[in-house]
Amino acid sequence: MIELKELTKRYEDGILALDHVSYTIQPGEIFCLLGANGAGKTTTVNILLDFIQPTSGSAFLNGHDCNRFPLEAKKFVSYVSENVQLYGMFTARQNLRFFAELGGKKGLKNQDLDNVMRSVGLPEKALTMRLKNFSKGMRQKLGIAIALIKDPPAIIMDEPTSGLDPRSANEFLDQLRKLRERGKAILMTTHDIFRAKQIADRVGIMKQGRLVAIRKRDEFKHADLEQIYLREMEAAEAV
Amino acid sequence: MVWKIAAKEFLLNLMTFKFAVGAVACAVLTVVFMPILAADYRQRLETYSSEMTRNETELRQTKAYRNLRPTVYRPPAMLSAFSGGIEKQLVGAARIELDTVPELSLTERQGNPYLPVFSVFDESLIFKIVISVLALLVAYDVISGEKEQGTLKLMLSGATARHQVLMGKLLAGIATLSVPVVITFVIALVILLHSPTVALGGAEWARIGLMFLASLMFTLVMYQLGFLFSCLAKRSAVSMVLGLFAWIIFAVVVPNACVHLATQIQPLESQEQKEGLIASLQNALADELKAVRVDWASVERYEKSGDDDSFGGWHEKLIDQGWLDAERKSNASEIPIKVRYADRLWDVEHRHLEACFRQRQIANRLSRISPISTYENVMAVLAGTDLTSFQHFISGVRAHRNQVLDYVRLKTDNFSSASFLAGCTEEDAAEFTRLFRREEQAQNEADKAKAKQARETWAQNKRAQAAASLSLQDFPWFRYHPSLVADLQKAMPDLLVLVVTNVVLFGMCFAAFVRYDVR
Repeated sequence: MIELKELTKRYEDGILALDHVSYTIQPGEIFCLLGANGAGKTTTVNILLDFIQPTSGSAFLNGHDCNRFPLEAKKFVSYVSENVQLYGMFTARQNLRFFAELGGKKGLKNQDLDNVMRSVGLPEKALTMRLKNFSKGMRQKLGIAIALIKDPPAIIMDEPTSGLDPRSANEFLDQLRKLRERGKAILMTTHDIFRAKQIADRVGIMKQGRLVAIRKRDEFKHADLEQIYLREMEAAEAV
Repeated sequence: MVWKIAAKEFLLNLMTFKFAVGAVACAVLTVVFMPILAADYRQRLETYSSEMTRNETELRQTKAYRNLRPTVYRPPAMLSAFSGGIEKQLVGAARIELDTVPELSLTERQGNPYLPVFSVFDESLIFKIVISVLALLVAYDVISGEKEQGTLKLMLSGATARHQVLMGKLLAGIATLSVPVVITFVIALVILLHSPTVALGGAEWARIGLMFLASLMFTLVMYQLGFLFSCLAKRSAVSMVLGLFAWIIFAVVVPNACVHLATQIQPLESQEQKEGLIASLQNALADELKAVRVDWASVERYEKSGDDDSFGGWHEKLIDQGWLDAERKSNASEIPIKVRYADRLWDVEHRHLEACFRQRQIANRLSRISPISTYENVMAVLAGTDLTSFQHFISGVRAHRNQVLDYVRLKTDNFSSASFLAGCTEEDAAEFTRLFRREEQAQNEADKAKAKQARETWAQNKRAQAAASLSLQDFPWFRYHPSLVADLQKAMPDLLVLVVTNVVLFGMCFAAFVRYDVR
């Protein structure tokens, strides 16, 4: 479970990046955070991963305060970044083993690693290939494999579909559905309204640090999510 | 966790092109230069041994203590291949005279035509240039590079503490850079041990062990410096530029600036001043000698007998009583004056040398702000090629001169016995005089010729008997032995500086990395 309570972040230069943001992402739920650049999506992720401290409010991962007990909290989360580069000189298997061991997984056999990589759709020949020869889509899949092998209750993804071709993006969404079925609480920041509509159980719309709206799947399933997004943005601007 | 990060980092470092180039460069440079340096040592040792033998042979042929003028030699440092220091720039021999200051003679390089080209090359240079640059290149992207490729964020998104990442990366850095350090030392030692003139004893092994330790500490300093820049810069290109800039400052600017500063802090008296002082002392000496000089014209003496007309040879001839008494009188008054003035002249020379040493020491101390200079100092001290080793030699020379003076004084009844003045005894001089007088008093030419014949035969036999020269059984031979304990004491401040620099840099790296913005 991912929980934000009145989370506020004001940077040293005075910019208010987050303004009293609160929401909870339940197990088995995909929450897509939409917003323009500078809306506060990545700031939220950075606070959850303890890369920066909030000015006020709290963020929790599985009930653990992310900023007071970050190492304890981060045991329950995996992170998939926008641009998963990893170690180009290592093979996919070596990369996966390293991050799995960092995540506390011990005694993993090659078979275990290969199974996880196969489950995210990496082709057989890629398992022992060096990462420098991987396409962005393949690296993104390996990023998901890294997130999966730790098997945490929560997963945070920062613009994971950015730069993916349509086929890779669809394969990626399939993986997300599987994760949802396995009861993971997923927070995904994205600009991609089309993919968000396809996969999200709820979407949060952010503007200049404020969470201006949260819409459930029923509210946008048959509607134009883009129109909803623009309408909410205009309304927020009017306020 | 720390070991996993260290293992990953170590493996990645070993796979890089820069590491391969650096390690191969160290190996190649050692393989190329070590045999040349070993051959240079062998040649210098042979020269030293032959000079020692020649000098001892000459001394053992001396017939009068007046001619006992040993030359002392400084043996070449066995570990000079590791650090040449300033050994080859300084004198390696000194002539001990009773009544003059030790004459410091310059050594001359002979033979090996390659050495003038590589005269400044040694193992420590590989560390100062190749390994220090390699350390910076390995470290410059250790944090900023991981940030650029997104792996730092991924690593820290889990339950991995920053200090674990820091420790892992530092351990990996040490392990990675230990590879070329070990390769360099092993190759150097293998080549040295195959050199027939190198016989490493316990003290040498201890020195090599300390050099290895110092090299590791120095390498770690340079790695941590690169690490710090990697933490301070957001982009690895910037951290690399910062690292190379720091390297130029430490390798080129600081050593030269410190020498310049030292000349300002401790200016030397001019050469003219020194020469003026020496000239005035020499004039005063000449005046004093003139006042006590024997009037040889009034001395009743006969001609000396002997074949040796070389410099000092007249001291080894047979002389009569007149000569002996006059020489004794002359020496009794002149030698104490000459010894006194020799001490004063030595003080002038020594004061100048000491001022040079102090200036160099100030430069060395100031240059400790550069880890490259500090490392250079440690290596030279441990190899016995630093300035203080030369000072130790000079002090030894002075002490030896006093020993030789005391020895001769004791043997010659305070420079007055016949054995000091000539190649004959008191009785010989008396007999020689008697023979001359008999020749003078001969009544006719036949008797005169007979007396002359008798004198010459006697002198010939005497010279043949006197071929057995001075017994030097208890002569205080000069032996120069660098002391490991003393050198360790001298190296300790620089070793401590390296340790403290490592600790301070670790603290700075820790502080910088804990605050590092991984976004």
